[in-house]
Amino acid sequence: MLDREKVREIVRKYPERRGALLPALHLAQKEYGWLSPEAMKEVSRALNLPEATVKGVATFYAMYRRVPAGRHLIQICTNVACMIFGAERLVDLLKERYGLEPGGTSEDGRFSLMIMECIGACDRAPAMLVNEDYHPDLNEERIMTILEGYK
Amino acid sequence: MIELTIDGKLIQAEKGSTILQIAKANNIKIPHLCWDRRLKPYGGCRLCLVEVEGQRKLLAACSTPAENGMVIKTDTPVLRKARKTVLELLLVHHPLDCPICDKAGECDLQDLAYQYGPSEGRFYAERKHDPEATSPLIERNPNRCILCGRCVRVCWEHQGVGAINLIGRGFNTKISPAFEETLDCEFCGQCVDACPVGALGTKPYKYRARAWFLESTDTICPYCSVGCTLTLDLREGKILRVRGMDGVGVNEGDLCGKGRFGFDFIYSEGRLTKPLLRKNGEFQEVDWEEALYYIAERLRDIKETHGPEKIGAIGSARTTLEDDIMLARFFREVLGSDNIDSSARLGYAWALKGMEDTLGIKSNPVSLNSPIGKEVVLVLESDITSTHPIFGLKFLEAMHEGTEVIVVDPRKTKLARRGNRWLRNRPGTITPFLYGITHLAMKEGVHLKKDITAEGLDELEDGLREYTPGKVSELTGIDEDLFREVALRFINAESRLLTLTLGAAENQKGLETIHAAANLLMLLGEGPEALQIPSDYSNTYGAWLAGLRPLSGGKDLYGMLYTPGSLKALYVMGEDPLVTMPDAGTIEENLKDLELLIVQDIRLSETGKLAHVVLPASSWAEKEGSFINSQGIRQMLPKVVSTTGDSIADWKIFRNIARVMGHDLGTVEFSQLKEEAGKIVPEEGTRKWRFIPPEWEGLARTTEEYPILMVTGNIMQHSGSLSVMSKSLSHVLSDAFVQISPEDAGRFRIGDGEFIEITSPKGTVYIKARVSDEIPEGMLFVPLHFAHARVNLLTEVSRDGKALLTPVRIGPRKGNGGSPAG
Ligand code: SF4
Ligand code: SF4
Ligand code: SF4
Ligand code: FES
Repeated sequence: MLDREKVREIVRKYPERRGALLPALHLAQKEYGWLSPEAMKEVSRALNLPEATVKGVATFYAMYRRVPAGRHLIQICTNVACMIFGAERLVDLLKERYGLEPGGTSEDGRFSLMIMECIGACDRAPAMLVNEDYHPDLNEERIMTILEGYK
Repeated sequence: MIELTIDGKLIQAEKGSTILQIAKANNIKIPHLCWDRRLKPYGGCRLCLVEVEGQRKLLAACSTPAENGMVIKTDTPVLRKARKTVLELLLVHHPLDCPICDKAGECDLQDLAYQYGPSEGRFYAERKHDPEATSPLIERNPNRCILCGRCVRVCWEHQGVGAINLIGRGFNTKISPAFEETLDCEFCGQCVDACPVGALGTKPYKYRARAWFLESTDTICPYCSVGCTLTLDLREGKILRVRGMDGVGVNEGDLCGKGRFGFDFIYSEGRLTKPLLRKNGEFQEVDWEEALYYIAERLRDIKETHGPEKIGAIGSARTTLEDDIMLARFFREVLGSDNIDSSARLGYAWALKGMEDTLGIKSNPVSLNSPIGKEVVLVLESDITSTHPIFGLKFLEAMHEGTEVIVVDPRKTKLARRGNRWLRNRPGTITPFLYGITHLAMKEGVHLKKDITAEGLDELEDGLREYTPGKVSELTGIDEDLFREVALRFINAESRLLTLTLGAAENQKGLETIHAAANLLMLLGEGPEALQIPSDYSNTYGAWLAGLRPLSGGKDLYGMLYTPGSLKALYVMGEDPLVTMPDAGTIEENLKDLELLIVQDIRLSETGKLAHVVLPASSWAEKEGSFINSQGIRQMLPKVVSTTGDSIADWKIFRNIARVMGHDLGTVEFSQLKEEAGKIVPEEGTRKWRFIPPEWEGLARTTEEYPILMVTGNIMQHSGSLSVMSKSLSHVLSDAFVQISPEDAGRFRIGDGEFIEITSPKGTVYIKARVSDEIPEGMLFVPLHFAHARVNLLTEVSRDGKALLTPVRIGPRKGNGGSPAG
């Protein structure tokens, strides 16, 4: 269930309920793991906005997940800087080791993978986010060590 | 004012207008697809690009505010090329299925592509969404959609619904309800009118005609008293669809679902085609001559034996003014009876009386735009967006422009959801709520500053003494602080409005509510304009003005329908008291006692089934006439289609009976009647103000035995008992239901969709339950439209106009069936 008190807190920050939609969706994503139809309906009820409005916004932005996600979300950047420093090789590696496809989830439900367009770490490329943790300066060895820390 | 040049023309304009608005006002054509007069600029389609001197970029005329000194060009080679490219890109994935698209011939995309010449087709792509076919009335064909978003924005911004959206992004974007489910919305069809291409269409019109074969005629909507102009599109004499025309009529092109889809009641299989005469207990079809001679003879007999005071008439709120005048003349001049009334007696008449008692006025037409520009508007236990949909839209519009709309209603209506504030009161407690505000206003001494000369101030003050915020909170169930805050907000506003409906079908407000509202407004120094009470149906107000009410001591509706033995003969024109009026059991007994019951209608109504003779009348589209809407405006109806069977216009039927009875009432041609109708003017009043002391007794309606209050009324898709004849409207909703709160459903073990038993002191009915959080605990809401539900067997009638909520008890339906709905 969506924490209604947190939603109210978000709503208070915006002059219009509609303004609170993006942060409320983030909240829902965090609490449900992904934006399931149920999660979107809950946001619609909490903000007193039509379901269609919520769904339209949720499907417009790439940062919302509309398929169930694994326990941990890996977001790897493959934009120019990271690409030059071998990010694509890392993506292949994840597929070899965990059977992870971009946009997909590993069979054991441990990881989900999303390809990002720049996470603002070009100076320490290649880089990734795991859930909310930032991991720069990756190479094949480092990325495996880091990920093994996420069970 | 600013000055600017468009295409070499020097133009003056209001500051703050957009380039497109100014161009439109000056008849300069700029193409546009995503712009809509009613909506905020969107700037999505880029067709309205213009060149502005000194600007490197082309600017979107729809969303660029005009500035002083701008020099604008709307048609240059650069613009043509830009627009052509936009069109080319739109056509990349637009299916070229114009030959089977109902929009062909009136499609903006088609017209623009034609205007800007063939595109080169440099790109190719195809979308493969399936058309959505399961929703009633409205079909979506997402492949044809150009993503202009007009439907989405009309539905949300303008209608306040938000049933559809652009789902997804980029190439895969698709117009759809949230979860691709079947559309579950108001079915107003406004999105269809807004769509510039053939992506949204109405099902009843699908594959019915090519646009260029249609002939269009404007007429007035037969349903509610807003009196919208409908543009009827006909082919070979048959109405195929109804549209709103931008800027036309009091509605300026907006329509609700009743107006747009409800016209097909005239093609219903239930239409009467011949007079029916009861012989040996059975109806037989007879010709007009036989029916008229029978009626003439029986009426003459009864008049001679019992006197004219034993003959009465109930008129209609939907027949034309001309029909009503003839009914009144026939009764007064030929029969000598003043026993004439209409359903207005049960609702609107009390509103009029209430305003006369207090404000000293005999009429108070509403003004559709009244909410706009007010600081605070209070909407009192009234679902205006359902009963008077286009008037209802004005409250949303006002809100967008900064008005604070405060809704006080136990039901979570659309305005309750969308308004700025919603206070949920206990059903039927709007009157003490108003007392409470008035009490506070007096305490604040507002009236002392205003030099109010109205009589009765002291009595009012005395009577209101007990209505302290604490007491009001206790009675209404509204939090005391919240009440105080809202009351002071209203009292201290610079400009304000109170609105409510007092319909014949409603039982939670009454004369005392009108008195309370007027008291408050007078105390604040506001005149009648601040009290907006629309009449019910297309011609409720007209019937009243045409004299369908006792004028010289005759019996009113209560005296005729609810008083045993008061009549021997009754003539009912275009009304179905057994369905639409309270305490139907008593009406039925009294009707059965009559020696002669004549029912004149377009179909065999429930009341008609008890009649001795039934006369087939022509419908609204089959005759000329006029309606007076809630704004007091008389609007003409042309004859659009030929009559059904042997039916005749109501007014002609009276002329013909009079002739058979040897009175010709003058010659009576339509033109004369029309002229006579044109002379009707509302009565003035003394305009002397008077306060009416509190008189609310609505408290002890519930008892241990009957713990729940049943509220009755009209809903969005229906209107009285007429709309149920419409196939289209019935497609959305044709089954009777009662709304019940989740709390009560749990408590009484009632599942959604199950039949329940409702018992009042008057009787028991069986009806399907709909569990809904729109309803609070302790309340039921039941629409009255559906004859088979017979809800009016449970209700009571109040001869002094008091609100009479029906106390009931409920439970799961006992026993194992028989026919559903009892
Ligand atoms: S019919 Fe009316 S309520 Fe339904 S989607 Fe269209 S605009 Fe919205
Ligand atoms: S369905 Fe029509 S109105 Fe709606 S976005 Fe598509 S083209 Fe525009
Ligand atoms: S029912 Fe009323 S609001 Fe709807 S179209 Fe007819 S007149 Fe207009
Ligand atoms: S009408 Fe201006 S961008 Fe569409």
